[in-house]
Amino acid sequence: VSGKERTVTLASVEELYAYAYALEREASERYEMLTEQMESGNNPEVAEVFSKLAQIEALHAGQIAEKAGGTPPARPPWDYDWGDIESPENIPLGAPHYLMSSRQALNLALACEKRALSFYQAVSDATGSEDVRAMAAEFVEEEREHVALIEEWLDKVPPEEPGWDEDPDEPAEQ
Amino acid sequence: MSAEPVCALTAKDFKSDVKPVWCPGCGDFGVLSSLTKALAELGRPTEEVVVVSGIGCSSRLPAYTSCYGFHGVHGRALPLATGIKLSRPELTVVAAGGDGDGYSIGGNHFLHACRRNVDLTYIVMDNQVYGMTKGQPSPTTMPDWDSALMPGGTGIRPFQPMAVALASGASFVARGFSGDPNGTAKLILDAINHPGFSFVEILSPCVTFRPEEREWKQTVHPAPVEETADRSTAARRILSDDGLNTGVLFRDDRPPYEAPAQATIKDPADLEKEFLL
Repeated sequence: VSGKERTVTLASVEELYAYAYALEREASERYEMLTEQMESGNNPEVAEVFSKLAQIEALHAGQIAEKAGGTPPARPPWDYDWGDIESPENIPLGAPHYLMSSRQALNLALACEKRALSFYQAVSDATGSEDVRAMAAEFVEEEREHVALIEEWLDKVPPEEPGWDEDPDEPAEQ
Repeated sequence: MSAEPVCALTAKDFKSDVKPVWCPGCGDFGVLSSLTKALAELGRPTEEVVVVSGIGCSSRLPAYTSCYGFHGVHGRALPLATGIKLSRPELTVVAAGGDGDGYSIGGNHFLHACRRNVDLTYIVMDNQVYGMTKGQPSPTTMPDWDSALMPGGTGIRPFQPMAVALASGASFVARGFSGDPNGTAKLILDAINHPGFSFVEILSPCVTFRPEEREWKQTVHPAPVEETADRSTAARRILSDDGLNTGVLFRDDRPPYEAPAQATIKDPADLEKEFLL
Protein backbone atom coordinates (compact mmCIF):
# COMPACT_ATOMS: atom_id res chain seq x y z
CA VAL A 1 0.00 0.00 0.00
CA SER A 2 2.76 2.40 0.88
CA GLY A 3 4.46 4.19 -1.96
CA LYS A 4 1.28 4.25 -4.05
CA GLU A 5 0.41 7.84 -3.16
CA ARG A 6 -2.17 9.62 -5.29
CA THR A 7 -2.78 13.33 -5.62
CA VAL A 8 -5.77 14.58 -3.64
CA THR A 9 -7.96 17.27 -5.13
CA LEU A 10 -9.79 19.53 -2.68
CA ALA A 11 -12.44 21.85 -4.06
CA SER A 12 -13.13 24.29 -1.24
CA VAL A 13 -11.42 26.03 1.63
CA GLU A 14 -13.92 24.39 4.02
CA GLU A 15 -12.81 20.97 2.80
CA LEU A 16 -9.17 21.95 3.17
CA TYR A 17 -9.79 23.07 6.75
CA ALA A 18 -11.49 19.75 7.48
CA TYR A 19 -8.48 17.86 6.10
CA ALA A 20 -5.98 20.08 7.91
CA TYR A 21 -7.79 19.65 11.22
CA ALA A 22 -8.08 15.88 10.78
CA LEU A 23 -4.40 15.64 9.83
CA GLU A 24 -3.26 17.34 13.04
CA ARG A 25 -5.81 15.56 15.25
CA GLU A 26 -4.88 12.13 13.88
CA ALA A 27 -1.19 12.91 14.35
CA SER A 28 -1.82 13.90 17.96
CA GLU A 29 -3.77 10.70 18.63
CA ARG A 30 -1.04 8.59 17.01
CA TYR A 31 1.62 10.25 19.19
CA GLU A 32 -0.53 9.55 22.25
CA MET A 33 -0.69 5.89 21.21
CA LEU A 34 3.09 5.81 20.74
CA THR A 35 3.58 7.45 24.14
CA GLU A 36 1.64 4.60 25.74
CA GLN A 37 3.62 2.05 23.73
CA MET A 38 6.92 3.45 24.95
CA GLU A 39 5.69 3.73 28.54
CA SER A 40 4.65 0.08 28.59
CA GLY A 41 7.87 -0.81 26.74
CA ASN A 42 9.89 0.86 29.53
CA ASN A 43 11.35 3.56 27.31
CA PRO A 44 10.44 6.72 29.29
CA GLU A 45 12.81 9.00 27.39
CA VAL A 46 11.13 8.36 24.03
CA ALA A 47 7.70 8.32 25.68
CA GLU A 48 8.37 11.90 26.76
CA VAL A 49 9.34 12.90 23.20
CA PHE A 50 6.12 11.39 21.78
CA SER A 51 4.08 12.98 24.55
CA LYS A 52 5.48 16.43 23.69
CA LEU A 53 4.78 15.83 20.01
CA ALA A 54 1.18 14.82 20.85
CA GLN A 55 0.73 18.10 22.68
CA ILE A 56 2.23 20.08 19.82
CA GLU A 57 -0.05 18.44 17.24
CA ALA A 58 -3.10 19.03 19.46
CA LEU A 59 -2.07 22.67 19.63
CA HIS A 60 -1.84 22.80 15.84
CA ALA A 61 -5.32 21.26 15.54
CA GLY A 62 -6.64 23.97 17.84
CA GLN A 63 -4.96 26.67 15.77
CA ILE A 64 -6.58 25.34 12.60
CA ALA A 65 -10.00 25.25 14.27
CA GLU A 66 -9.47 28.84 15.32
CA LYS A 67 -8.47 29.84 11.81
CA ALA A 68 -11.51 28.01 10.40
CA GLY A 69 -13.86 29.79 12.79
CA GLY A 70 -14.69 26.60 14.68
CA THR A 71 -13.98 22.90 14.72
CA PRO A 72 -14.69 21.59 11.22
CA PRO A 73 -17.71 19.26 11.12
CA ALA A 74 -16.77 15.71 12.07
CA ARG A 75 -16.95 13.05 9.41
CA PRO A 76 -16.07 9.36 9.42
CA PRO A 77 -12.29 8.87 9.38
CA TRP A 78 -12.47 6.75 6.22
CA ASP A 79 -14.07 9.64 4.32
CA TYR A 80 -10.72 11.41 4.09
CA ASP A 81 -8.80 10.49 0.97
CA TRP A 82 -5.18 11.09 1.92
CA GLY A 83 -3.85 9.65 -1.31
CA ASP A 84 -2.16 6.96 0.78
CA ILE A 85 -3.08 4.41 3.43
CA GLU A 86 -3.03 6.98 6.25
CA SER A 87 -2.79 10.67 6.95
CA PRO A 88 0.67 11.96 5.94
CA GLU A 89 1.51 13.16 9.44
CA ASN A 90 0.95 9.80 11.14
CA ILE A 91 3.98 7.75 12.09
CA PRO A 92 3.19 4.37 10.48
CA LEU A 93 2.09 1.66 12.88
CA GLY A 94 4.92 -0.79 13.19
CA ALA A 95 7.67 1.80 12.64
CA PRO A 96 8.67 2.30 16.30
CA HIS A 97 11.04 -0.05 18.08
CA TYR A 98 10.80 -0.51 21.84
CA LEU A 99 14.48 0.31 22.26
CA MET A 100 14.51 3.25 19.86
CA SER A 101 16.30 6.46 20.74
CA SER A 102 14.89 9.98 20.95
CA ARG A 103 16.80 10.79 17.81
CA GLN A 104 15.14 7.95 15.91
CA ALA A 105 11.74 9.08 17.21
CA LEU A 106 12.40 12.62 16.05
CA ASN A 107 13.55 11.39 12.65
CA LEU A 108 10.22 9.60 12.27
CA ALA A 109 8.45 12.83 13.27
CA LEU A 110 10.56 14.78 10.78
CA ALA A 111 9.51 12.43 7.98
CA CYS A 112 5.87 13.03 8.97
CA GLU A 113 6.24 16.80 8.77
CA LYS A 114 7.91 16.49 5.37
CA ARG A 115 5.07 14.27 4.11
CA ALA A 116 2.54 16.83 5.36
CA LEU A 117 4.42 19.56 3.52
CA SER A 118 4.38 17.52 0.31
CA PHE A 119 0.67 16.79 0.81
CA TYR A 120 -0.24 20.48 1.00
CA GLN A 121 2.06 21.28 -1.88
CA ALA A 122 0.31 18.65 -4.00
CA VAL A 123 -3.11 19.98 -2.97
CA SER A 124 -2.03 23.48 -3.91
CA ASP A 125 -0.74 22.30 -7.27
CA ALA A 126 -3.81 20.20 -8.10
CA THR A 127 -6.71 22.44 -7.09
CA GLY A 128 -8.69 24.59 -9.48
CA SER A 129 -9.64 27.00 -6.71
CA GLU A 130 -7.52 30.09 -6.09
CA ASP A 131 -8.72 30.23 -2.49
CA VAL A 132 -7.69 26.62 -1.84
CA ARG A 133 -4.36 27.24 -3.52
CA ALA A 134 -3.66 30.27 -1.33
CA MET A 135 -4.69 28.48 1.88
CA ALA A 136 -2.76 25.31 0.98
CA ALA A 137 0.30 27.49 0.33
CA GLU A 138 -0.10 28.89 3.87
CA PHE A 139 -0.17 25.35 5.24
CA VAL A 140 2.95 24.53 3.21
CA GLU A 141 4.75 27.38 4.96
CA GLU A 142 3.50 26.25 8.36
CA GLU A 143 4.73 22.72 7.73
CA ARG A 144 8.06 24.16 6.61
CA GLU A 145 8.29 25.82 10.02
CA HIS A 146 7.45 22.53 11.72
CA VAL A 147 10.20 20.81 9.75
CA ALA A 148 12.65 23.47 10.88
CA LEU A 149 11.56 23.10 14.51
CA ILE A 150 12.10 19.35 14.49
CA GLU A 151 15.47 19.79 12.79
CA GLU A 152 16.48 22.22 15.56
CA TRP A 153 15.30 19.73 18.15
CA LEU A 154 17.30 17.00 16.44
CA ASP A 155 20.44 19.14 16.63
CA LYS A 156 20.20 18.99 20.43
CA VAL A 157 19.81 15.22 20.60
CA PRO A 158 22.85 12.93 20.48
CA PRO A 159 22.98 10.07 17.99
CA GLU A 160 22.11 6.64 19.26
CA GLU A 161 24.84 4.42 20.60
CA PRO A 162 26.03 1.50 18.48
CA GLY A 163 24.10 -1.62 19.45
CA TRP A 164 21.10 0.43 20.55
CA ASP A 165 18.75 -2.44 19.64
CA GLU A 166 20.64 -5.11 21.59
CA ASP A 167 18.45 -6.41 24.39
CA PRO A 168 20.18 -8.58 27.01
CA ASP A 169 16.77 -10.00 27.91
CA GLU A 170 15.12 -10.11 24.51
CA PRO A 171 11.84 -11.94 23.89
CA ALA A 172 12.99 -15.45 23.07
CA GLU A 173 11.14 -18.00 21.01
CA GLN A 174 10.24 -21.04 23.05
CA MET B 1 -19.03 26.44 9.23
CA SER B 2 -20.63 24.75 12.21
CA ALA B 3 -18.73 24.90 15.47
CA GLU B 4 -20.55 21.80 16.75
CA PRO B 5 -19.28 18.34 15.86
CA VAL B 6 -21.84 16.19 14.04
CA CYS B 7 -20.82 13.04 15.90
CA ALA B 8 -21.38 13.23 19.65
CA LEU B 9 -19.14 10.28 20.47
CA THR B 10 -15.45 10.02 19.67
CA ALA B 11 -13.07 7.09 19.47
CA LYS B 12 -11.56 8.20 22.80
CA ASP B 13 -14.93 7.64 24.49
CA PHE B 14 -14.56 3.93 23.71
CA LYS B 15 -11.00 3.63 24.95
CA SER B 16 -10.45 2.70 28.60
CA ASP B 17 -7.79 4.10 30.90
CA VAL B 18 -5.93 0.79 30.82
CA LYS B 19 -2.71 1.13 28.83
CA PRO B 20 -2.17 -1.72 26.37
CA VAL B 21 0.78 -3.96 27.19
CA TRP B 22 1.21 -5.15 23.60
CA CYS B 23 4.74 -4.86 22.22
CA PRO B 24 5.46 -1.41 20.75
CA GLY B 25 4.61 -1.58 17.04
CA CYS B 26 2.15 -4.48 17.44
CA GLY B 27 -0.57 -4.51 14.81
CA ASP B 28 -3.21 -4.95 17.51
CA PHE B 29 -2.86 -1.26 18.37
CA GLY B 30 -4.23 -0.50 14.91
CA VAL B 31 -7.18 -2.86 15.47
CA LEU B 32 -7.99 -1.20 18.79
CA SER B 33 -7.93 2.15 17.01
CA SER B 34 -10.20 0.79 14.25
CA LEU B 35 -12.68 -0.69 16.72
CA THR B 36 -12.99 2.49 18.77
CA LYS B 37 -13.41 4.58 15.61
CA ALA B 38 -16.08 2.21 14.30
CA LEU B 39 -17.95 2.28 17.61
CA ALA B 40 -17.83 6.07 17.68
CA GLU B 41 -19.44 6.16 14.25
CA LEU B 42 -21.98 3.52 15.30
CA GLY B 43 -23.06 6.04 17.92
CA ARG B 44 -24.33 3.64 20.56
CA PRO B 45 -23.31 4.41 24.16
CA THR B 46 -20.59 2.28 25.70
CA GLU B 47 -23.02 0.42 27.94
CA GLU B 48 -24.89 -0.93 24.91
CA VAL B 49 -21.81 -2.60 23.44
CA VAL B 50 -20.16 -5.80 24.70
CA VAL B 51 -16.67 -6.90 23.67
CA VAL B 52 -15.92 -10.56 24.35
CA SER B 53 -12.62 -12.39 23.94
CA GLY B 54 -10.77 -15.61 24.62
CA ILE B 55 -7.07 -15.87 25.50
CA GLY B 56 -3.99 -14.48 23.80
CA CYS B 57 -2.32 -11.13 23.09
CA SER B 58 -5.21 -9.87 20.97
CA SER B 59 -7.77 -11.16 23.46
CA ARG B 60 -6.70 -8.40 25.82
CA LEU B 61 -8.81 -6.10 23.68
CA PRO B 62 -11.91 -5.86 25.95
CA ALA B 63 -9.85 -4.35 28.78
CA TYR B 64 -8.73 -1.56 26.51
CA THR B 65 -12.26 -0.50 25.62
CA SER B 66 -14.76 1.23 27.89
CA CYS B 67 -17.59 -1.07 26.75
CA TYR B 68 -18.85 -3.99 28.75
CA GLY B 69 -16.20 -6.66 28.42
CA PHE B 70 -15.74 -10.35 29.04
CA HIS B 71 -12.22 -11.77 28.87
CA GLY B 72 -13.24 -15.39 28.71
CA VAL B 73 -11.80 -18.84 28.37
CA HIS B 74 -9.34 -19.88 25.66
CA GLY B 75 -11.18 -20.46 22.37
CA ARG B 76 -14.57 -19.77 23.90
CA ALA B 77 -15.24 -16.17 22.89
CA LEU B 78 -17.91 -17.19 20.37
CA PRO B 79 -20.07 -19.33 22.70
CA LEU B 80 -19.99 -16.49 25.22
CA ALA B 81 -20.83 -13.90 22.58
CA THR B 82 -23.63 -16.09 21.21
CA GLY B 83 -25.17 -16.46 24.66
CA ILE B 84 -24.95 -12.75 25.34
CA LYS B 85 -26.57 -11.86 22.01
CA LEU B 86 -29.40 -14.37 22.34
CA SER B 87 -30.23 -13.33 25.88
CA ARG B 88 -29.73 -9.60 25.32
CA PRO B 89 -30.49 -9.07 21.60
CA GLU B 90 -30.67 -5.31 22.01
CA LEU B 91 -26.91 -5.13 22.68
CA THR B 92 -24.19 -4.84 20.05
CA VAL B 93 -21.89 -7.82 20.54
CA VAL B 94 -18.33 -7.99 19.24
CA ALA B 95 -16.13 -11.05 19.79
CA ALA B 96 -12.39 -10.72 19.25
CA GLY B 97 -9.27 -12.82 19.43
CA GLY B 98 -6.35 -14.22 17.57
CA ASP B 99 -5.70 -16.98 15.05
CA GLY B 100 -4.60 -19.48 17.69
CA ASP B 101 -7.58 -18.81 19.95
CA GLY B 102 -10.13 -18.71 17.14
CA TYR B 103 -8.94 -21.30 14.64
CA SER B 104 -7.29 -23.92 16.82
CA ILE B 105 -8.80 -24.44 20.27
CA GLY B 106 -11.82 -22.40 19.23
CA GLY B 107 -12.04 -23.80 15.72
CA ASN B 108 -15.15 -25.85 16.26
CA HIS B 109 -17.00 -22.90 17.79
CA PHE B 110 -15.97 -20.86 14.77
CA LEU B 111 -17.61 -23.34 12.38
CA HIS B 112 -20.88 -23.42 14.28
CA ALA B 113 -21.01 -19.68 14.89
CA CYS B 114 -20.78 -19.21 11.11
CA ARG B 115 -23.50 -21.84 10.65
CA ARG B 116 -25.88 -20.36 13.23
CA ASN B 117 -25.56 -16.84 11.86
CA VAL B 118 -26.33 -15.09 15.14
CA ASP B 119 -26.14 -11.31 14.73
CA LEU B 120 -22.69 -10.63 16.10
CA THR B 121 -19.30 -9.56 14.81
CA TYR B 122 -16.18 -11.68 15.11
CA ILE B 123 -12.81 -9.97 14.68
CA VAL B 124 -9.75 -12.17 14.36
CA MET B 125 -6.38 -10.47 14.61
CA ASP B 126 -4.31 -12.88 12.57
CA ASN B 127 -0.53 -12.70 13.03
CA GLN B 128 0.11 -16.31 12.05
CA VAL B 129 1.84 -17.09 15.34
CA TYR B 130 1.17 -17.72 19.03
CA GLY B 131 2.72 -14.52 20.38
CA MET B 132 1.76 -14.65 24.04
CA THR B 133 3.40 -18.05 24.51
CA LYS B 134 6.48 -16.90 22.60
CA GLY B 135 6.37 -17.82 18.99
CA GLN B 136 4.89 -21.21 18.24
CA PRO B 137 3.34 -21.86 14.81
CA SER B 138 -0.43 -21.30 14.73
CA PRO B 139 -3.07 -22.76 12.39
CA THR B 140 -2.45 -19.99 9.82
CA THR B 141 1.35 -20.19 9.87
CA MET B 142 2.90 -21.02 6.50
CA PRO B 143 4.35 -24.57 6.35
CA ASP B 144 7.93 -23.42 5.79
CA TRP B 145 8.16 -20.86 8.61
CA ASP B 146 11.30 -21.78 10.47
CA SER B 147 11.20 -21.31 14.24
CA ALA B 148 12.99 -22.55 17.35
CA LEU B 149 10.12 -24.87 18.21
CA MET B 150 9.61 -26.14 14.67
CA PRO B 151 12.92 -26.03 12.77
CA GLY B 152 12.26 -26.11 9.05
CA GLY B 153 8.58 -25.36 9.54
CA THR B 154 5.53 -27.45 10.28
CA GLY B 155 5.10 -28.69 6.72
CA ILE B 156 1.36 -28.38 7.31
CA ARG B 157 -1.00 -26.56 5.00
CA PRO B 158 -2.35 -23.41 6.74
CA PHE B 159 -5.98 -23.15 7.83
CA GLN B 160 -8.06 -21.08 5.40
CA PRO B 161 -10.32 -19.01 7.67
CA MET B 162 -12.10 -17.03 4.96
CA ALA B 163 -13.00 -20.13 2.95
CA VAL B 164 -14.05 -22.01 6.07
CA ALA B 165 -16.25 -19.11 7.19
CA LEU B 166 -17.87 -19.01 3.79
CA ALA B 167 -18.41 -22.75 3.58
CA SER B 168 -19.80 -22.81 7.11
CA GLY B 169 -22.44 -20.18 6.39
CA ALA B 170 -21.11 -16.83 7.60
CA SER B 171 -23.18 -14.11 5.97
CA PHE B 172 -20.48 -11.41 6.00
CA VAL B 173 -16.83 -12.13 5.27
CA ALA B 174 -14.18 -9.41 5.10
CA ARG B 175 -10.43 -8.96 5.42
CA GLY B 176 -8.65 -5.91 6.77
CA PHE B 177 -5.14 -4.79 7.61
CA SER B 178 -4.19 -3.27 10.95
CA GLY B 179 -1.86 -0.78 9.24
CA ASP B 180 -4.93 0.79 7.63
CA PRO B 181 -6.88 1.73 10.78
CA ASN B 182 -9.42 3.94 9.01
CA GLY B 183 -10.22 1.46 6.25
CA THR B 184 -10.47 -1.33 8.81
CA ALA B 185 -12.76 0.82 10.97
CA LYS B 186 -15.14 1.04 8.01
CA LEU B 187 -15.06 -2.75 7.62
CA ILE B 188 -15.82 -3.23 11.32
CA LEU B 189 -18.72 -0.78 11.19
CA ASP B 190 -20.13 -2.53 8.11
CA ALA B 191 -19.77 -5.84 9.93
CA ILE B 192 -21.57 -4.57 13.04
CA ASN B 193 -24.36 -3.12 10.95
CA HIS B 194 -24.78 -6.38 9.03
CA PRO B 195 -27.65 -8.44 10.48
CA GLY B 196 -26.02 -11.83 10.94
CA PHE B 197 -22.67 -13.42 11.78
CA SER B 198 -19.98 -11.09 10.45
CA PHE B 199 -16.45 -12.34 10.23
CA VAL B 200 -13.61 -9.84 9.88
CA GLU B 201 -10.15 -11.31 9.49
CA ILE B 202 -7.53 -8.63 10.16
CA LEU B 203 -3.90 -9.12 9.22
CA SER B 204 -2.11 -7.81 12.30
CA PRO B 205 1.69 -8.12 12.34
CA CYS B 206 3.51 -9.60 15.32
CA VAL B 207 6.61 -7.38 15.29
CA THR B 208 8.36 -9.49 17.92
CA PHE B 209 8.13 -13.04 16.58
CA ARG B 210 7.18 -12.34 12.95
CA PRO B 211 9.03 -9.07 12.17
CA GLU B 212 8.85 -9.90 8.46
CA GLU B 213 5.09 -9.24 8.67
CA ARG B 214 5.90 -5.52 8.68
CA GLU B 215 6.18 -6.08 4.91
CA TRP B 216 2.41 -6.55 4.73
CA LYS B 217 2.25 -2.76 4.54
CA GLN B 218 3.79 -3.03 1.08
CA THR B 219 1.88 -6.09 -0.08
CA VAL B 220 -1.75 -5.81 1.07
CA HIS B 221 -4.08 -4.34 -1.50
CA PRO B 222 -7.78 -3.64 -1.94
CA ALA B 223 -9.67 -6.54 -3.52
CA PRO B 224 -9.72 -5.92 -7.26
CA VAL B 225 -13.35 -7.04 -7.54
CA GLU B 226 -16.61 -5.87 -6.01
CA GLU B 227 -18.10 -7.83 -3.12
CA THR B 228 -20.51 -10.57 -4.06
CA ALA B 229 -23.62 -12.17 -2.55
CA ASP B 230 -22.98 -15.36 -4.48
CA ARG B 231 -21.32 -17.90 -2.20
CA SER B 232 -19.76 -19.99 -4.96
CA THR B 233 -18.28 -16.93 -6.68
CA ALA B 234 -16.88 -15.74 -3.34
CA ALA B 235 -15.45 -19.19 -2.62
CA ARG B 236 -13.69 -19.29 -5.98
CA ARG B 237 -12.18 -15.86 -5.38
CA ILE B 238 -11.13 -16.55 -1.80
CA LEU B 239 -9.54 -19.89 -2.61
CA SER B 240 -7.55 -18.39 -5.46
CA ASP B 241 -6.53 -15.04 -3.97
CA ASP B 242 -3.14 -14.24 -2.48
CA GLY B 243 -4.43 -13.86 1.09
CA LEU B 244 -3.69 -10.15 0.97
CA ASN B 245 -6.90 -8.81 -0.60
CA THR B 246 -8.72 -6.41 1.72
CA GLY B 247 -12.34 -5.37 1.77
CA VAL B 248 -15.74 -7.01 2.05
CA LEU B 249 -15.51 -10.20 0.01
CA PHE B 250 -18.94 -11.68 0.66
CA ARG B 251 -22.24 -10.45 2.08
CA ASP B 252 -25.68 -11.98 1.79
CA ASP B 253 -29.02 -11.40 3.49
CA ARG B 254 -29.58 -14.77 5.13
CA PRO B 255 -31.77 -14.03 8.16
CA PRO B 256 -29.88 -14.19 11.46
CA TYR B 257 -30.71 -16.79 14.06
CA GLU B 258 -32.69 -15.39 16.98
CA ALA B 259 -33.78 -16.95 20.26
CA PRO B 260 -37.24 -18.55 19.90
CA ALA B 261 -39.91 -16.00 20.72
CA GLN B 262 -41.76 -18.36 23.07
CA ALA B 263 -38.70 -19.39 24.98
CA THR B 264 -39.56 -19.62 28.64
CA ILE B 265 -36.92 -18.86 31.19
CA LYS B 266 -36.79 -21.53 33.85
CA ASP B 267 -36.40 -20.63 37.45
CA PRO B 268 -32.75 -21.41 38.34
CA ALA B 269 -34.04 -23.40 41.33
CA ASP B 270 -35.93 -25.71 38.94
CA LEU B 271 -32.79 -26.19 36.88
CA GLU B 272 -30.81 -27.09 39.96
CA LYS B 273 -33.36 -29.75 40.90
CA GLU B 274 -32.43 -31.66 37.76
CA PHE B 275 -28.89 -32.05 39.08
CA LEU B 276 -29.78 -33.06 42.62
CA LEU B 277 -28.95 -36.62 43.48
